[in-house]
Amino acid sequence: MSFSRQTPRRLLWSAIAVLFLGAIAYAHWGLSGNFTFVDWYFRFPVTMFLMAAALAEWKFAWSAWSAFEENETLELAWFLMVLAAGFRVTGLTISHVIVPMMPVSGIIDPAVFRDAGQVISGPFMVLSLGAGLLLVLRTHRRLGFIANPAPLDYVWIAGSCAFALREIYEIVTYYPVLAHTKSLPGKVLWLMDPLLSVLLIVAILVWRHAQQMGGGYVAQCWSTYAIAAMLTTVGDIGIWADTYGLIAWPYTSLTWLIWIPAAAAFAIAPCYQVCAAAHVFEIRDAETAD
Amino acid sequence: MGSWISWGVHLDDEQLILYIDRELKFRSRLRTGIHLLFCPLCRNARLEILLRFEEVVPAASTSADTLLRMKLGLVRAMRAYESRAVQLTANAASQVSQIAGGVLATRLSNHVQKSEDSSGAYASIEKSIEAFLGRRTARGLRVALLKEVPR
Repeated sequence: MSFSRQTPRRLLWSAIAVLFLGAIAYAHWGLSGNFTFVDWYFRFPVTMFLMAAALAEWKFAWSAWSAFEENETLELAWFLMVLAAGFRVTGLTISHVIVPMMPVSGIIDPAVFRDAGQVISGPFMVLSLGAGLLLVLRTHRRLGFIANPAPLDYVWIAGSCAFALREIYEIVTYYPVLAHTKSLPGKVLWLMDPLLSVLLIVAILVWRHAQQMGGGYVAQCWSTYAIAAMLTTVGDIGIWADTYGLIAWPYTSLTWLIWIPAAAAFAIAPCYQVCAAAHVFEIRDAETAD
Repeated sequence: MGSWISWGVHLDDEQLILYIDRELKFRSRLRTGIHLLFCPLCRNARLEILLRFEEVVPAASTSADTLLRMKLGLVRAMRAYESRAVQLTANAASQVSQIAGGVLATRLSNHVQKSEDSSGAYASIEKSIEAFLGRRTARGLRVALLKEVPR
């Protein structure tokens, strides 16, 4: 993917275009009562966008990481971001590309394989991202960019904690029954909600701390990572609502739309860091040319 | 604006030097003295010139006229340096603001205005730049900015 300082904006517009196509698909369903177009929309344009965004995220995170030397403060944080992006690419490839092509009567059960893909792009990715953001938070605090959460943030944090506690309670209650029916990847997926709660708290703190820098590419990078983490939490609540039958099918599919801006935010975040470095070298080269 | 209406046009460097050197005629000296009494801007400018001149030790043979020209040249150079420093610092600060945010940009320009030492000013933000962008990129920014701001 070629890079310019307009790339974050282009990524955002491509997400808007995919969402717009979704609006057309849903309008078609509303008018004709035929769900085929919506089904096609999620199978192809959305899958392609999610894959492209994850690859872009991985590429930009890699570029950002390669600007750091090993003994530097944020080198490990960027390595964890690269790892998180790699987990997203792998998980999405398994669950959105390989699993739909697998024969049902094969050696491996496609459902188990899909769960394995979701474990990689779920808990594994959240762990790497959360650990990276914690290092970023520590760096902000060490450099004096410190902020307390706003009153509304406490509402988010409390809501997320309540959601995680409820999930833990359900796992403990139903574990004797589910332990025999669920595969190992399925059991690991139970960790997702408590992990996302922790990620949300870290993301909110990173967002507030980054705001203390007063704008700029670096602050935009960490704020966008925080927004992506928040959108992931919202998307997870959608999955939860679907699992517990709170939203009827096919309206559940509307909650899937949240993964489009989330994927775009994950790709845009490291892109801002690359923009910062590109800007530095542009002005340096301009000076040298003078 | 208020002081301009009350106490006339601000004094230029030449007038200030002539006043310091006691070379003004009686009425001009009186007018300048009164202006200086009430105008903090010109008072500061006079103080600044006095501080600068402490560093200049004229040779015994230097004529008064040469000395005056010498001092005037020095003050003009100083003013030109300062205005360029301020302008270039604004440019450097805008670059830093775009990359790493307004807080570090303000820190940079405040430091340059206080100490007129651009490398010292960059040093004050270097740690943060290095942490967020990496040492290699920070070095690139240092090269770009310190070329911009005169030392």
